[in-house]
Amino acid sequence: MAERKPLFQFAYRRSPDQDARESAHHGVVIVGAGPVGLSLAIDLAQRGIAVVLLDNSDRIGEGSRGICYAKRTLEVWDRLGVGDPMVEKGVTWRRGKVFRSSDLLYEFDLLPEGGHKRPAFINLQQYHVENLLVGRAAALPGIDLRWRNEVVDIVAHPDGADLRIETPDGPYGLRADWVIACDGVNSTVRKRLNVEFAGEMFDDQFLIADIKMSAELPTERRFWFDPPFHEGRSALMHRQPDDVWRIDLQLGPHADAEREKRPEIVRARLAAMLGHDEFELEWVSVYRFQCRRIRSFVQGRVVFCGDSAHQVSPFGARGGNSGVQDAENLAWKLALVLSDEAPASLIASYDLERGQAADDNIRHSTRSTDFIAPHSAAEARLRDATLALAPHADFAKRMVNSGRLSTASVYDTPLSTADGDVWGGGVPPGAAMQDAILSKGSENLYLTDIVAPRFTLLFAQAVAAPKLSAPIDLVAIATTQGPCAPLRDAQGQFAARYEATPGCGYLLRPDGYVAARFRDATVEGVEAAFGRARGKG
Amino acid sequence: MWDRAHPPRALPIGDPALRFIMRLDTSSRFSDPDAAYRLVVEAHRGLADEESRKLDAALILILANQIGDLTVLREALALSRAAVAPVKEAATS
Repeated sequence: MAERKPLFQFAYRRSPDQDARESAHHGVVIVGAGPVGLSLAIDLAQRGIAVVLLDNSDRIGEGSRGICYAKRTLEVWDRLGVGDPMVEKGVTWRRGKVFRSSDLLYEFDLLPEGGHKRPAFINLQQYHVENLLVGRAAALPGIDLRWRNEVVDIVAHPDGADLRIETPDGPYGLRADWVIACDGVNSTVRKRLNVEFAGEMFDDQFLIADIKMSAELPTERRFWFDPPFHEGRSALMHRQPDDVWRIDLQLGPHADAEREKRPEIVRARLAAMLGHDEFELEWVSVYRFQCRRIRSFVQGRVVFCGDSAHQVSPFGARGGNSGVQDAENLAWKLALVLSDEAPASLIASYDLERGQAADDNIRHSTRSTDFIAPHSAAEARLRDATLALAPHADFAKRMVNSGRLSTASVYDTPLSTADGDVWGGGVPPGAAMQDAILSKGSENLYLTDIVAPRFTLLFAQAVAAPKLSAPIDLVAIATTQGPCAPLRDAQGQFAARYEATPGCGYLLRPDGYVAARFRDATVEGVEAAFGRARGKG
Repeated sequence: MWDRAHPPRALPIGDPALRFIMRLDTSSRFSDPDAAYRLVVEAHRGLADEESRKLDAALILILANQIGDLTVLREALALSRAAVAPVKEAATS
């Protein structure tokens, strides 16, 4: 099919650094202005850290690429000032349906309870995501975004790295204290540093097509095993904004990728699925999925985020979402280290925490891909037995794996302070904060809006809150009808989700993760946990 | 569950020390073991080979769920692997 016209075009501009006799020196250089690099740049800039952001292209929009963005990612983007436009532009969904042949096997609801600002998921073309992030980045001081600046070489030193960059005006050099590689699966930084990217490749090929059509179908994820229109294989369908639909068809290990990409072949397959051919092809690609990661995401002063560090299959929407969550995990740590408020060793916790997240994502993604595309006749029999039992037995329904959708990872990390009190529920240390609706006067507010991206103590008001001398925001919440705090847990969501009793406190990290919790929050306890969460424990 | 990179290792069956750490109960649990065996055999009567295999697959999943314990399941799988290829498994253990 014909090359698509790019949707968004940006201008290369010559930087004064290109005229410098010696390489200009910067604190942080981010390579790659995709969703991950842009989110990281915005987060750092909001924390007062200037960054240079390099991208080898000057346009976006050749394909929809990543389309599913999870609640946790939307909460990150809220803090970066782009949550509202993302949700307004995207289509919101939370339900999925799984079919076997033409029978509905089961439905799932990813967010059955209320009291959350953000939905379970939005679908939004990656080019819209990037364009909104570029707009936000341009509005912030401190982000020097350089289009058509292609990193062609990197030499790492103990205290930084030297980059060689090609531009339309020729090459130039930059020196950086920290280089953050957000340059995707084919990362030049990773290749030039000879970092091994090891894992598993799956044999099956999948056709990914975005089509434009008007259809009165509900906004939900639909997955078929062995559908009548594509026998013996799987199919996936997702709605995107602007009447664009994502369709994903399993082709098997022996498909001829070039032939399968031919418009007449694609159209015939999709017409069989949809029962009509009133659609336009927007984007077509044939993939083989891989699950792999680099061993350490931190290599001296070079840090890898997103697909440059780890790659998963798309079942579960764990690629883009984990990349944005990498960026949020790194941003506050790097900002503290650069402003001498935390030891450089804090960066090692990024590798530990996001390495755990990557392993978790790879494990889920591998299990899903193996279920959808079994490796042997025996595996296929077990899979088919699961599908055959599912209408009759709940346990089998729970084993049907068409993708386990991305949720916030939980970290087993030395930055957490282990519980010293008895908790039956709530949000444990190492887990992300839960949203809840609170009341202030006659107004309803979301907890995720109230908490700023700084260390915060959520305090269930009973008596006076602990008088903290450390730089920790205090959010006091009245759990009863008493007059002691302007914020009230009128609907009891905070009490229920945090198992909050009067006097208890949750210390949140700047990324909204729980660092510690106390039944009786004291200055000593909270400040010790605060030190630990900044890598001083 | 099953992890291709780390398949369950066959246990050296008969090692008396294992009796204290194994959770899988390999003692005879049926008062009439012949009747139990017979039930499973009869379920396969009249089925073509491929249908028999499908039945086995469904039965394995149903029984695994009934066990509901990953440790026991892992030990049961290891014992099954040892029954399939005892020599090969012994060489790698």
